[in-house]
Amino acid sequence: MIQRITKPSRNSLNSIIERSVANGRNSLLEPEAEKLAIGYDIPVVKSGLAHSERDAVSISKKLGFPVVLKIVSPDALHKTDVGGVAVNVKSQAAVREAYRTIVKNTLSSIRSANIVGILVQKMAPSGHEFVVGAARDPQFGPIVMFGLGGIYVEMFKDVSFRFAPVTQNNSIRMIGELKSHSLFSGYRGSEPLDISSTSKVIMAVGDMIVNHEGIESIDINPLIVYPRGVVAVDVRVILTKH
Amino acid sequence: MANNAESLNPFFRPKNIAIIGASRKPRKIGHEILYNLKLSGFQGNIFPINPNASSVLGLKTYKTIGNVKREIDLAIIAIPAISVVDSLEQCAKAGVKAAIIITSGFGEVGKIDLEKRLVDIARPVGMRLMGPNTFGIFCAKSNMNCTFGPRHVLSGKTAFITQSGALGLAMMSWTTEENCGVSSIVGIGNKADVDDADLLEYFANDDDTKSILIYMEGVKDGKRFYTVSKKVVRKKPIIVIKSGKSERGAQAVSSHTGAIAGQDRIFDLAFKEAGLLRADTVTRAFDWIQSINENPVPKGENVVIVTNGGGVGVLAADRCEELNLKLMTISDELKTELSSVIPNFGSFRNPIDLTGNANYEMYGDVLRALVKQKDVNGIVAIFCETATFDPTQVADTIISIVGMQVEKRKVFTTAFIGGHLANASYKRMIKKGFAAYPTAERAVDGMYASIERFRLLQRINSGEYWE
Repeated sequence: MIQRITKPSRNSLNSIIERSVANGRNSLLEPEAEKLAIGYDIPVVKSGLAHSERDAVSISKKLGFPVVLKIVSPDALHKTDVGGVAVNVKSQAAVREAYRTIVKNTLSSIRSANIVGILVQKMAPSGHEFVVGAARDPQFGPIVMFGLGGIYVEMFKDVSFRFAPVTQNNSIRMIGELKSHSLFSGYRGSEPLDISSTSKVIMAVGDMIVNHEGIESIDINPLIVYPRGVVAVDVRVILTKH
Repeated sequence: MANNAESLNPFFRPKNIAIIGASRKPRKIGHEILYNLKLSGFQGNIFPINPNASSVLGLKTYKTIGNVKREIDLAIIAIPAISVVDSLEQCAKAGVKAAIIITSGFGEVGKIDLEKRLVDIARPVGMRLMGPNTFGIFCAKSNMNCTFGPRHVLSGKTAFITQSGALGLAMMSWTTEENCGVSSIVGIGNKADVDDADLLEYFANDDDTKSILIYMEGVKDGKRFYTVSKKVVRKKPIIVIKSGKSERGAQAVSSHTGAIAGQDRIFDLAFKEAGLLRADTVTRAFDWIQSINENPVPKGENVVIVTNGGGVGVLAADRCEELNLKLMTISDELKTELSSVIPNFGSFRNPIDLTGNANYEMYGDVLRALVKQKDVNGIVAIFCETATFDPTQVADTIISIVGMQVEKRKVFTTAFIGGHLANASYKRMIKKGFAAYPTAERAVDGMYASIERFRLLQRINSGEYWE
């Protein structure tokens, strides 16, 4: 049940996207988006897709507590808005309760929501939250964004841009262009963050949007950055409209 | 695309021009264009087309363009929209090489199909189109004012491409008012055929154009604009004013990246990556152009400010900081040099404050000392009008000194601050071919543009620009 972190082939990634586009979906489900990320060597948190409360409990036991539960539904793109996310869930009983609450919340927001399942993720250790994204500009083509992440992305807009694909040097310059760049060199005695792993994710996201015509935009938010390593906690992929 | 640039030649260097809609009535656009063209001293032949008159402004008229038995390089079409298609078809048949369609009422009011028809007529016969919906073209070299704007335009070193008619016409007046001359002004209109990228390619090879200023609201083909400007900017500085800060439509708002990366930020990215200087106001664009046109590209980024007013010196220093300009530390060598020319002078910091007692001889000595310094790349000289300092005396001093600096590739911008004497002085300096301004901050802005040019060329020479 727990997603094995093996790298899928480029072809299988394309077929995920094509299948979703053919089904008239406008975004990938989170497990699909994560698979895409893994295909581009972006570290994601361990997770499994549950179809019942029992599933959810057994997955969370294997992952170890605390866990995060998230709704997986093509109708609920904004998972938090529909009450479809529970974080820091610490026990089996809490998992059961969170599962029920999420399903109830989702259905009361969107009555006809098609619920594919509940994603149970290992809760990532806390760290600095960044956003890595990509979008297609109708005039200039695909662009990549890197910035301060979490829930304040659009409030602070501490971001930098480049056209995709992004070279290694440019990905490092993107990090340097943030107002909060000093986090990467060690702010006020804290340990410097991992520039090299962050730069790899920026490049990977650029490659993703260049390689797959079917992708309209990508948001990895947050990408948690540690002194050693990074992890993508939420990957959202919007598909091109046809 | 040398071919593409060549095909624009008839817009700027025509021998024979036909004006379709050359009315006898003053204030009619066709009449005004003919009047301006005659008055501007155009050396080629002008053929007014008007089926209802035998002559206009002393020139023989023709009923149709087909009746002119000469090869027409450029047709200017200033007739109601309903007749433009017919008229353009006649131009195509007559072998006209290029047409400026002054008439409005096409794409800008949603008549996209009608506008496309114009292109469909022109393309097969290789005729190039400017507009529709434009005020025309001015070209200094050809003594050609094919616009319905002001009569007199000062010739100079900048080519101005504008999507806004009003701004273009205002610019024509500013050339004389502000002593900021142009090599050409092009009303690009709806860009049905010729667009910014085409004109950039043309002006890149135009010997009379030293810098290019673009006012744009949007581009037709962003990728081509980006690629072309990246190529042209190696040869000539490009300054752009882009209006419209509106965000992209609701479609992409479901992603953070889409929501934050509004169109304006993407334009910003494109300009930055290509090496274009984006001005947020028209004044700033002019300030930049003045310095770029009148100064050499410096060899480095070290800036020195000289002032006789402490306060304005600090303002200038603040502006430098804001613009990421490097105020040079005064070297021991320079300190020695300065103490020999300014007796009893205490500390030497940058800005160099000559205090209110300074006279123009002292200024001259300091400037001469600075010009000799190898590691000084830019000098911002600020002159405040005082009882002991008459700014009108400065010009000649500076002119002799700056003659020295051009060889040494130093950038020189000046500010004359004060009343009418200061005002007259800075205008006089501009006339003499200097980058001069009425405030210290604007003199720093001018310096910034020249230093940015140096930085861009550095970037181009390094690998970064090509990544």
